[in-house]
Amino acid sequence: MEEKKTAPAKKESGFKLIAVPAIVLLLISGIAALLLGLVNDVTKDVIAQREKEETAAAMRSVMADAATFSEENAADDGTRFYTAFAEDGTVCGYVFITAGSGYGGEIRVMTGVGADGAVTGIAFLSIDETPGMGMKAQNDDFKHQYIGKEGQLGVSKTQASDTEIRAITGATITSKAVTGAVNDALACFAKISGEAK
Amino acid sequence: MKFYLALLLMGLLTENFVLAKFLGICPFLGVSKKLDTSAGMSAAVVLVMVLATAVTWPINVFLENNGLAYLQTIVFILVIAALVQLIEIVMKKYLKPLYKSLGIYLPLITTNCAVLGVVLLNVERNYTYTQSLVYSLAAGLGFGLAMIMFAGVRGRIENNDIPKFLEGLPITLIAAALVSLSFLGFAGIIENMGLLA
Amino acid sequence: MAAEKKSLGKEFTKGIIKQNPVMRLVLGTCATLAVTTSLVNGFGMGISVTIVLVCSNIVISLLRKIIPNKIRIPAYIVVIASFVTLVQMLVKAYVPALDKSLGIFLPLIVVNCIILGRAEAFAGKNGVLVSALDGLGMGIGFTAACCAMGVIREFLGSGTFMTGLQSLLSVFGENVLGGFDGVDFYKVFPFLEKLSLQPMTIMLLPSGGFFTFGILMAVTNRLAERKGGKKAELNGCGSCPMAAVCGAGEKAACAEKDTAAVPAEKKEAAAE
Repeated sequence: MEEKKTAPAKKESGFKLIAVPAIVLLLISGIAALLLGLVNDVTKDVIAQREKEETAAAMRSVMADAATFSEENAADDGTRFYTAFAEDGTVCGYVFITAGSGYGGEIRVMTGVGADGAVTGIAFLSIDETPGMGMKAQNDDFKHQYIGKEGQLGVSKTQASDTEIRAITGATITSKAVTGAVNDALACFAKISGEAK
Repeated sequence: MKFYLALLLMGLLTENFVLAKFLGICPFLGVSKKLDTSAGMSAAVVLVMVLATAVTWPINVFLENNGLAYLQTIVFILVIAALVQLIEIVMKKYLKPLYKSLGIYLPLITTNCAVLGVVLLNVERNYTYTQSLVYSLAAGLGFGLAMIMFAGVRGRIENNDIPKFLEGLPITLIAAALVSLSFLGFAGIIENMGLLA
Repeated sequence: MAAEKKSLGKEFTKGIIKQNPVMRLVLGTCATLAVTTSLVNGFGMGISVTIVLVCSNIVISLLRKIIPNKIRIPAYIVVIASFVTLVQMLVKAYVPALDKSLGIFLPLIVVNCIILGRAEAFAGKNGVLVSALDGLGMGIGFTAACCAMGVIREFLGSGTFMTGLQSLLSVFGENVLGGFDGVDFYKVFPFLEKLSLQPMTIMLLPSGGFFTFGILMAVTNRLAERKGGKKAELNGCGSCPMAAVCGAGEKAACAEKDTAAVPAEKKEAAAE
C-alpha cells in the first residue's frame, strides 16, 4: 500500500528489498489458499446437499399430489422444468423455475402446474425484497392466491378475480414480478402440453 | 439497449449504492462536508469501480471455469488493492494534474465497500461484460450523486440552529435518512417505463 | 502480575463501551445500517464479524514479526479475506438462512473497517493474548450495536421481537430453546390490529436505518458527555475508517501540506 512512502532507513540490497516481501506474501497467500481449498472440499458437499434438499422440499410444496419428479429438463426457450408423476406413473403436472425482476433484484419462483393447466402452488427459491413490503410475498395469503388460476394472469391493486392477483399493498413491483414469473411458467406449460398432444 | 438504460437508472436512482444499498457509507459521512472534496472522491470512485469491474470480470470467468469460485472474495479484494496502487503510480507519473485532484482519495478507496460491492453484485447477477461495465459506471455515478447532493444538504445544516443533543453526527444521519426517503420515490420507475420487458 | 491482568481486562472491555467501534469510533457503519432489519440478522452479522476479527487478530499478531513492514497491509488483507471466506463457506453450509439474509454483506466483511483497523492499530503491534481479547471486546461491542439497531428497527418496523431465531439456531438442531421463534406483538395483542395500528415499515427501509442510527448516536453522545467523554465525530482523515489502510500513504498526503495535493481541503477534512 505505502511501498513508495516508507523509504528504507538504510540501504538494503535489491534482493532483500523486493524478494523477501514478495516471498513472504506469496507464502501467506499460498497457505491461505490451501486452507480454503480444504475447507471448501468439506463444505461444498454440504452446500450442494442442502440446495438439493431445498429444491426437493419446494417441489413437494408446490405439487403435493406428485409422487416422483423427473430430472431437470429445459424447454425450448431455456426454461427449467421438472415433470411430476403420480403414484401410478402418469404425468400429473410440471414444476417450472422462472424468474421475475423485483425491487431488490431477481426473484426466482418455482411454479407447479397441474395436468389440467391450473397452478397447484408457488414457492420462492430466492427473493430479496424490502422487508415488511415486498417480502410479504412469502406469506401464504399472497402465495395461495395463485392456486387454481390458469391462462395468463394480471395484477390488480384493489381486488382479486379469476384472472387477477391482488397486489401486496406497497409492493406492486414485487407482485408484478412474481405474477410475471408465474405467467412465464404457464406459457411454457401451454407449449409443452401442446407438443404432448 | 433498453436494458442498459435500465441499468443506468438502477445504479443512479433505484439502487443508489449509498441511499438504498448502504454501500460506501463511510466516505459518504466522512468526506461529504465540502462540495469539492465530494466531487473528487466521487470521480475517483467512478474510475476505480469501472476499472475494477473491467479487470475482475475476466478473472471471475477464469475462477468459475476452474471451480475456484470460492476464492472470489479474496482474489477480488487483492485485485482491487493492487489496481488502486497501480492507478496511483501511473497517474502520478503520467497524469500529474489528475493525480493532484484525485490522488489523495485513491488510497481511501481500497476498503470502500462500494467498490467490492459492485464487483460482487455484477458476478452475483450474471451480468455480461458490457452490462457489468455499465452497471459499475451507473453505481459510481449514483454514489457521486448522493455525495454531491448530500454535501449541499450538509452546507445548509451548518448554518442552522439545531437542538444541542443532535449536533454533529446525529443530525447528519437524520438528514441522510430524509435524503434516502426522497430516493424511495423513484421506486418502480424502471418497471413503469417498461425497460425490463 | 496484577497490573498485567488489569490491563488485559481493560483491553477486553474498552471495545464494548468506551471505544465501541460503531457508536464511538463510527467504524463499520455500512454493515450496521444494512443488515439490522431484525435482531437476529444484526446478531448474526455481529457474530460473523467477531469470529473474523478474533481469528485475524490472533493470526496477524502471531505473524507480526514475520511480515515485512512494507507489505503488511496486503498481508493483512489476505489473512482477513481468508477468514471471511472461511466464515462465508461455513455459514452457507450450516446456517443457510443467515447467508440469505446477509447476502452480499457477508463477503463484504472483508472491507469492514473495524477489522483492518484493529489489525493495523493493535494486532500488528501487540501480543497474541491481548490481541485476541482486543478483537473479542471490539467484536462484542460491534455485536451489541448491531443488536440495539436490530431490536429497535424490528420492533417498530414489523412489530415483532427475535423472529427468525430458529433459522439462526438450526445449526444446533431443531427446536432449540423449546422452539422459541420470537414474538409477534400483533398476535399477542390482537387489539393492535383493531386499532388499525400498523407497524412502521419505514423503519425497515434504508431511511429508517439512518434515522435509528442518528437517534442512537445522539443518545450515546449524551451519555458519553455526562461521563465527561467526547462526542463521536467523524474527522475526515484522522478517524476516517480508511485511514488505517492508507496508513503511511494517507498520512503523507495529510502531512504534505505544501504539496499541491489540494492541501486546503485536506486540512479542512482533518479539522472536521
